[in-house]
Amino acid sequence: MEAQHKEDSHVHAMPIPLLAEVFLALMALTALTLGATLIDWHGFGLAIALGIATVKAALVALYFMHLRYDSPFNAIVFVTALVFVWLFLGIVLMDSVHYQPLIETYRAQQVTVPPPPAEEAAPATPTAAAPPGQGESEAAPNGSADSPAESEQEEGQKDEGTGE
Amino acid sequence: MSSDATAAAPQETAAGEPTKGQAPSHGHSRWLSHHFDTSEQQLYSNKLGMWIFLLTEILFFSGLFCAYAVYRRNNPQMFDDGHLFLDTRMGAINTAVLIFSSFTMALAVRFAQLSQRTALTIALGITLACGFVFLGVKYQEYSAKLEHRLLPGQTYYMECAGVWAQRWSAWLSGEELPEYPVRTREALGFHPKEHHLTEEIEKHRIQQYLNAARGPAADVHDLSQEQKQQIKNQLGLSEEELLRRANNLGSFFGIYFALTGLHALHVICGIIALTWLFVRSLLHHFGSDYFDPVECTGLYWHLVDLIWIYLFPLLYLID
Amino acid sequence: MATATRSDELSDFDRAARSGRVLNYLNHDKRIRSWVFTLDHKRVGVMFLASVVASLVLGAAFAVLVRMELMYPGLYFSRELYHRFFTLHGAVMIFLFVIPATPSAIGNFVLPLMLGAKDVAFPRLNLFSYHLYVIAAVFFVITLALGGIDTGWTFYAPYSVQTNTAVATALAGAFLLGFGSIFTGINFIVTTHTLRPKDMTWMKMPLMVWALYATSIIQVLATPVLAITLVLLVAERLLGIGVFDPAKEGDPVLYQHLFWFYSHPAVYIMILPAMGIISEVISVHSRKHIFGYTAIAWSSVAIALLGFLVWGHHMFMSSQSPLVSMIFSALTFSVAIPSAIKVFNWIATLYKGSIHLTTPMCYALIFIFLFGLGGLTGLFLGALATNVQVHDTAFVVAHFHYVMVGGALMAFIAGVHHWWPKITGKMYYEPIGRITALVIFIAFNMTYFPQFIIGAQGMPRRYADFEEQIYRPEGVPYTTVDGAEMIGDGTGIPWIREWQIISSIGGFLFVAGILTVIVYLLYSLFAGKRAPENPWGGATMEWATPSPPPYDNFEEPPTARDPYDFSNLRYDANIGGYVRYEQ
Repeated sequence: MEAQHKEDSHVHAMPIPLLAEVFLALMALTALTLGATLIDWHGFGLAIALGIATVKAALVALYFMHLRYDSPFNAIVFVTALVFVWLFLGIVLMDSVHYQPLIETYRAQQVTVPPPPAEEAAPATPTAAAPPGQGESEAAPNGSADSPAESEQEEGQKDEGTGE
Repeated sequence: MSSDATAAAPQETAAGEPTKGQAPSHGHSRWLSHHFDTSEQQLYSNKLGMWIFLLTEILFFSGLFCAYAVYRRNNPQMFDDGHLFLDTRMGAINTAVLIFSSFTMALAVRFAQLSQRTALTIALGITLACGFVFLGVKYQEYSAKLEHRLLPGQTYYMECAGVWAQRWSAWLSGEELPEYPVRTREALGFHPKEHHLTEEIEKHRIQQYLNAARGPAADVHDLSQEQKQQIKNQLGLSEEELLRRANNLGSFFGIYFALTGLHALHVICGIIALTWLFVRSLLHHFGSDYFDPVECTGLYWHLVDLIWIYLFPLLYLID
Repeated sequence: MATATRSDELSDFDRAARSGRVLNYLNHDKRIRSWVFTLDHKRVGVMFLASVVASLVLGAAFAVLVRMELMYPGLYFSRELYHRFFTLHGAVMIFLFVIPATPSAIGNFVLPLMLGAKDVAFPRLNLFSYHLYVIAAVFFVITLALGGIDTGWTFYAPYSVQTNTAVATALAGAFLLGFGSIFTGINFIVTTHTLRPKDMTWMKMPLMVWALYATSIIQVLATPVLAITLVLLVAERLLGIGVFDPAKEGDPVLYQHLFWFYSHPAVYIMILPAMGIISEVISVHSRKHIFGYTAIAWSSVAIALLGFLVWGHHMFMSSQSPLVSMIFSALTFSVAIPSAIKVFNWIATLYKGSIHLTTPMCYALIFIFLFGLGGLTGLFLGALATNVQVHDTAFVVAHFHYVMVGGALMAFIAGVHHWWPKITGKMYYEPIGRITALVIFIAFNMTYFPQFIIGAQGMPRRYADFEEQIYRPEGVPYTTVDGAEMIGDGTGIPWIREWQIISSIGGFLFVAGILTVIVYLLYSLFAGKRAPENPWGGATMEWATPSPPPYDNFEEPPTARDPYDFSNLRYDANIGGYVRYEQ
């Protein structure tokens, strides 16, 4: 019994009214998220929705998961996870955004005007969107080397061919 | 992570002699493992271990969130199209159910800490029921997708036991190894036009255009065929374009099923853990001296809720 | 504990040895099921040790096949077979050997003992880690039975999505191993936090514990990303979801980001515990307090954290954007700093120490040399400009073999020898240990140094045949291996044929050396001398319990003291080991 009493002293049981308040707050925030979709945020809609989601997540973590009253190391563990996820997503997105222009340029060189059905001769001229003096030197030889074969096909199909 | 069954395993003395299974007799809880000094130390360890496991779960999902982010950044149109086929109401119901189950789980932890055994069992029961409701709603959603043939992926590469056996026997007899068969969605009955996917996309895009151009009152159904064709030409919605967009839905749904499927898998694991807890609570294993499994499972369940809190706006509220 | 006050008095050790068998963790229960379902971290460690050594031999077998192919120009096997050999060599060595070896085999045994604890925090999770390892190994064997894989251990999309080899089973095995690694990491972190004795503060922990702690941080943060990457790859392969396929709006570079976010920190999982072993071995075997304890401790954590910021240096040539490439290149230079700090501290520890050239010390010295070389060559790879020349050449192969084999493997062998008396209660035969170390050192350099040379001159990696890289003087006609008559054009790598032969012979000799180590260690189990409690004079807690330890690790809880203070340990020739004397 003594051991039991000793155990009780370090336990902090969450009071029911507090839990109920957090629950109602979460439901209200969910309703808010749904309501927010009816308004046109001009591109910030995702940020708003994720912002509200973060507030909800914080409530769950602090109160339901007891982080507010626990040893700080548990919170450090949780925050570390989020920091590393942000690091990972941030750099990958940054990289992806920065090499998109390479892909756009390459794709632009592949799209052609399909030859009229009467003419069967493969067009020897470069593609319609041939970039004069573009900086992407590796794209140009690619484009000119492939163009006689490529120009008959749509871009999607060509990728399909090499991909599969 | 909880060391509850150690009491059942034979305890051993320091010299290495096994003794008959016997709980330690020095006033400690019968659930205290021999390598911990106090229940407090054990609880702290179990919770810390569970928090680190949750860290790994967050990192596990992060790969999918990363794929989602890159996909959406590069092809927002695909996400717009995919959103048309998701039922926001179902998603909202699931969100409410999970938040409520988190609430009852937190209550269960409180009841365990205060040795309120009946209340604990009831709270666990309700949490468990909510888990099943969530899965039920998921099942509805998935069968609706199946009906529309909105399956993940575009081609299915059949690497499975039957093919392995074929390749093994071919190798033994020195023949050419057969390739893995590839099944397209067409072979499985997915035809975008037949299931109205292209029509759906077409209708919605025209509606969007109308709302932007002529205000919210405009309705696509009021238009004649020529007017619709005119708008379609303006938006670049040729037949091939619509077909391409419908085909690309396979990629969107790949991400959708990966995210929600992995989440549902975690809900199922949570349900298994909760069932085990429910049974143990009926056996009166938990009290103020020992409630580690309830708290740790609670943490896991809250994480499942947390992930859904993010999944909901990312998948269902794309606009 | 063995404390002898007069040299003619029988020590407890001798008395116990004479009276009959002493019960320890190995012999107290000999049923199979007491091993399969053991909760004892020492037994889990021993099982891991046996398993990783078996994997080492399997991986070495594939290495021999690779070197057989590369010994002469032309194709000895076929190209397809060669692709499978180097893939399986890489996958088996990385996933089944290097990553689990030091943490799970040595760490499991040593960590609780060093903390004076009775077990790890979660013994059943520990056992589960081992079971996952075994199941994963079964998956790898199934993969072998199905003809292996030929994608390279990196499984790059799109090739791994399309190839007709048993990729899915291999990925399943790697997935399970990932979780085994995660659970070990969780166990070690919690053990270090909660099972330390009251008077052992963080700055009084042995450096091995710091190293294992830093390793565990990486394991829990990075491995889950590998797990999800493999899941996505399997989904891509079996379902064609298109996440890595440009035709379906996917991105193959995304696969590389996902893969390397784990696999770069993974190399720090391999090297950090090895560095922990070196800290222990160097200090104990030179009878000198470790120099710069705080610096080594914090640099372990620094390596763990900085290691997460550099993964893009594997992707400089994969159309990663220049901005991001520059960031990664700069950060890569920073990660070399903590490693260098450690090397300087070890050398400072050796300085004016009383160096005992025991086998563990031999391997530790080999480590410092080979890891230093390997680390320095990493700088050429980390610098953007030079990376263009050496990416995907034998230079890279030489670099990572110097750090992984010359680093992690040498340290692992050092650790196995250092703790062998504690784990098995037997001493191995010292002279053969030292001779084999010398042979291994020479053979290793023979194998890999030529690869720096030919790699820097352009020999590509993963090529089955180096016929085209042979130097052909301009205008001189020559015959290829297939009999074609050609005229030389002045290109090629001079002496490549000679270097490849030297490299292959070195490789075979190296493998022979490793096998010799395994043989004489196994032999010591039967014919080795009985080990005293503290043969090397270590001051960490694992040396304050009999060899092998009893089931519960310690008869009385040991006191925490400075783990590198050897001042009151003296050698007792009667028992062949060190004893602690009170002033």
